Amino acid sequence: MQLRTYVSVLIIAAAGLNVQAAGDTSKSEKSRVGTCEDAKSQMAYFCDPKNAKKDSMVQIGTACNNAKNNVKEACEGIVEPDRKYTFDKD
Amino acid sequence: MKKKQRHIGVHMSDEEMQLVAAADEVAFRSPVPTQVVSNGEYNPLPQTEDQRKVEGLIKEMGDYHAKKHGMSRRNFLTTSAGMATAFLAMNQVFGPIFSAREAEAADMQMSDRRAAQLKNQFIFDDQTHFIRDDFNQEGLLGLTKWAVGAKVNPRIGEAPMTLARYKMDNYLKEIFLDSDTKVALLSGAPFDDPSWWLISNDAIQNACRSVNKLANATRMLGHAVITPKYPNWMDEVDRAIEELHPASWKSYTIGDPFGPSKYAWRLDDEKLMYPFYEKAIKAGINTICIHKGLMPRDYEKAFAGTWESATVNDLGQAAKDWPGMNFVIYHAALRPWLADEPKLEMAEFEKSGYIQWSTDLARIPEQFGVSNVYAEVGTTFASTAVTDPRFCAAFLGQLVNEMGPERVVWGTDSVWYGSPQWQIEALRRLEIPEDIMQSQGWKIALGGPNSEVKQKIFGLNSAHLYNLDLNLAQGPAFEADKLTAIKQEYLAMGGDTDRNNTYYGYVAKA
Repeated sequence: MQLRTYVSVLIIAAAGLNVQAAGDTSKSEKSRVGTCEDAKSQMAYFCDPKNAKKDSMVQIGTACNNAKNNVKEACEGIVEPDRKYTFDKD
Repeated sequence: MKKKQRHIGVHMSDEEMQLVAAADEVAFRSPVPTQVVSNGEYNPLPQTEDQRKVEGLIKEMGDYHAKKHGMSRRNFLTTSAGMATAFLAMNQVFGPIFSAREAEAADMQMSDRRAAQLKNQFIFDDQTHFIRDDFNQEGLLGLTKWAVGAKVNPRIGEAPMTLARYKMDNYLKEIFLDSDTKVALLSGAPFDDPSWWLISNDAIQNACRSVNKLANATRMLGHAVITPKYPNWMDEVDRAIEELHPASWKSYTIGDPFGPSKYAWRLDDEKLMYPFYEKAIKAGINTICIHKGLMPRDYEKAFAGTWESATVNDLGQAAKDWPGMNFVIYHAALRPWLADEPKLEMAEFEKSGYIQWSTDLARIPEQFGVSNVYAEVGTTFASTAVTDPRFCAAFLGQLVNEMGPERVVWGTDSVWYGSPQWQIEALRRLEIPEDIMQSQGWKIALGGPNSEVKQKIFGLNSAHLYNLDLNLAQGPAFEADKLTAIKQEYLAMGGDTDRNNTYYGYVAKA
């Protein structure tokens, strides 16, 4: 096996391991949004329309989307790419 | 074009006219949804029994006095006498918290005289917002719908319930024409969802330059929003220092103010934040305003894993390590979002003297031996003043007495809740009940509408923070500038009593 091919195989294998590791995110492992349980708790609150009656933050609506993304990251290891700081100029 | 608009235009050069638009054009774009504005029934939070009583009393008293003055109730409630009526009604329901006399409601001249005596008071609003022109997230209107439901701001229904009310033209009208505010600090906010970002750092500074040029005075200061933990966030800090020259910094340790974020962080994170403090101090932009508090009652569930970033448990050490940095804690870190259940908060305070988490903030200067920590009261003053004024008095009283009156700064979070004049009037009239003063062992009363304590809160503390000339800040500087001249024209033409939603008089282009 040529060196270049060998390195490619290693990279692919490593990437595969990463994907597997991400998919196996432990429930107690803490991500940027807390643990998987934390993220599920966030989603259970903010995506429950009943809470909109007592909390206008739920009604405003951005929080449920955040919570769903957090579940993806903390429980499924699916990390959306970080945004760069790109305020449009004007 | 109507006479009043043409008349106002007399004050403006061609260049300045580029900044303004005819009011009826704005109104044409946004017709009033009368079912919301007229009945004010929509309220994301249930109206309390006390609020229902206040509303009934305002209507009853308004009818009585309006008839005496030969005007409609609606018009009467927009006058100074009408404002006094609202506070009299609140006193009847909540107890004597606000200084208001029957004579003010009965005698229009007396109430007008009082308003005239106070109109030159120096008021620096330390927290204001408007949104970029292409912002289209109507969920944000929930903030104003809350204020409509709260039913104290008699002018809240003036602007249509559309996002136009949050844009620059209406912002200028609500803050500089319809209130006694002299200087406003314009802020922004980041969100995990980029479509929610309110306004760019560049647009903030452009707005300040435009308004200050129009006024020929310093009427607006601007933030640069920083977003620690975002990739390349420090690049924006460098750019702000080099190109934008903001008056101060703004940031959110909670990441996203409306929902659980993946960008939460701590003020005392040495690796993340200490290089920033060093850079900011070197640049001479050494004040940072930080959103804290404002969490739902179920915050441990709703913000599981991140809610601690909304507390002030990261503040003391950072303030101690960086004495050259001023830390202005927005919302005074008060935990309840829009005063969800003020009776519960008040019961806890009566029992223990503790308020989540503003008490923690109030005690930091003494605990850490620091003098570079300030409390700002945007949203929290407004929401507590209308839902439970006694709790509002306790909350503000504790800040004033435990941090010191020189550490509390005025902010209204305008323009979310309409013109801030009702909030200004509420603070002018607010008194700490004697029984609370005694039970807490407090010595510093809030005093009359223009007391030394209230002057500090309203503006002198912020003037000091932002190096405004205190001699100028106390009044005369703003009596002669162009914005004042425009306001005088606006008032002379009935701007403060014009209830026709399509007639704003002067409005600036966004």
